[in-house]
Amino acid sequence: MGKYSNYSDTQLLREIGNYNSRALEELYTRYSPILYTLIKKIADDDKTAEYILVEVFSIIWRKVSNFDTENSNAYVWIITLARNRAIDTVRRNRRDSSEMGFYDDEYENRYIVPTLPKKMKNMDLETALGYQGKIEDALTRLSEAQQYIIHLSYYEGYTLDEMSKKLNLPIEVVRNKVYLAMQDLHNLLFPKGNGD
Amino acid sequence: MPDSTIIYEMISAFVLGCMDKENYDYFKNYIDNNGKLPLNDFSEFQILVSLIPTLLEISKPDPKLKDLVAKNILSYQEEIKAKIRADKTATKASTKNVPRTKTKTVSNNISSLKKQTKHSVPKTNAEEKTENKNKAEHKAANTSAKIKGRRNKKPLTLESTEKIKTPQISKSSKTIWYLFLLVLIITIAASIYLYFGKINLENKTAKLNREIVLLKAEMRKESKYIKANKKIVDFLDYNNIDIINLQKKDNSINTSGKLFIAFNKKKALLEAENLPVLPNGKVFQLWLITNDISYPLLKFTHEQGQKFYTMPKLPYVPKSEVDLIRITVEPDSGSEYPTGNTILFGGFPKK
Repeated sequence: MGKYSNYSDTQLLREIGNYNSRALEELYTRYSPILYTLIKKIADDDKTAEYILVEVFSIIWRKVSNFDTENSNAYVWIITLARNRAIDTVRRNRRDSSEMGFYDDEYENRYIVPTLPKKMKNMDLETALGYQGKIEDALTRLSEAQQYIIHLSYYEGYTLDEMSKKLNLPIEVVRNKVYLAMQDLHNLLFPKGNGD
Repeated sequence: MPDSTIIYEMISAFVLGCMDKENYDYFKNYIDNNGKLPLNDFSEFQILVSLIPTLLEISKPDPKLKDLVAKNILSYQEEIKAKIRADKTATKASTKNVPRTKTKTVSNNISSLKKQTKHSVPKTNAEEKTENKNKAEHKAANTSAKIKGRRNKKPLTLESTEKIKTPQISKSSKTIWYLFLLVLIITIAASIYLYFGKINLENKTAKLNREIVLLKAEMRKESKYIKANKKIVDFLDYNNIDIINLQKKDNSINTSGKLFIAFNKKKALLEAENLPVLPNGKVFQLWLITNDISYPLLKFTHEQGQKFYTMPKLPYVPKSEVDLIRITVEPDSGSEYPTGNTILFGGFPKK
């Protein structure tokens, strides 16, 4: 067992901020299976998924200073970063590349590195995996249409506008459906009066 | 603060990552500028969405990817080192510059103060007279010395030559010294230029390499797209193609399809998307119905990423006699006539 295996995810990110490659190695051991699974679900093929996974860890290495180790949530930051990177690739394949803008450092900072609420409860991968049952239960209680909307936006990278065209619904209706799906999911997972 | 429902709608779209670019930019700026938000709900929505991937069946990546990550990190190591070096140099330079500037300022102040003192003290008449007298005397002495010097010119001795040469030697050594300094400065400047040029070149090479990898991935995508659509591209080479739009029977599914028929070539191609998952031991079967007789045209199963299915041979049926096209679910041995549920159906519009 390595020195860093007892470190929390946030501690590892802090160490990575000091260019500690051993800490990144530990983070890779911890996170690569879930990130690879998520990216593979979004990307079209295994080769692209592998390429994106390598890219995600290089972004973590270069952009970890954007993560607020005091107030933010390590798990959410890493998962959101991987999802953003994968969706960006999928959208670039689906759309005219000029629509997306040139992928440079500035673009990466704005659209790939997550923008999270200023203050969040911290959570690591282990805690997140503990919610598996609850989130599964909550998701299956949503209507099929709500599940479909969440799938289209989260895994397929459809924007509200694209969903509106695909589902032949006005954009206001789609926007409201997204909100209601999120609200229902929120009420099921974090019922009022339960500070969990 | 915008209306609360709008804010919640925006938060939902933001955390799910389905905002278009313009709204994303607007909302991100709003967050970055500490716009008012229900932070607790925003935070919980964000956590909720991040928990979605925990439901996926986890699969481990190829172990060789770890080495690729390491290599990738190493390529950035040089960039980071250069950055650290640049930061250190900048810090040193600023530390050195501060006291120097101060000293210079102080000495400048002193000299300017001296100058001011010189000009500001008014001279008395007596002093002016004495000064003028001294100047006149000094001028006269200089003139007489010059005349004497011309008169007393003697042949040059070794001693006198040496005396004359001495200032010449010091002048040339000064020139050499200046030249040496100049060469040194040029050498240092050239080394710095080359060093940073090299770093810049390395960065550019690394960037180009990354772009090449990205382009390769894009090329793989393109070739995959061409491969996936080759069947329809080839089929469109036939003349006189008729298209039948197939409709789904069950509105709860999202299946759609089209049948392309080249009657003169007795060829057909089916395009079907989002076909439902088949139970074990079942296949899809495509039928052409004419005069109440069903001809089985194709038996197929759906595979990930496949949407075109070629019909080997079409029976001779004139276009006007095609009553209906159906896709049904049948046992995997195939049926002689449709027995299972209809998934898609369609025909030519009747006149």
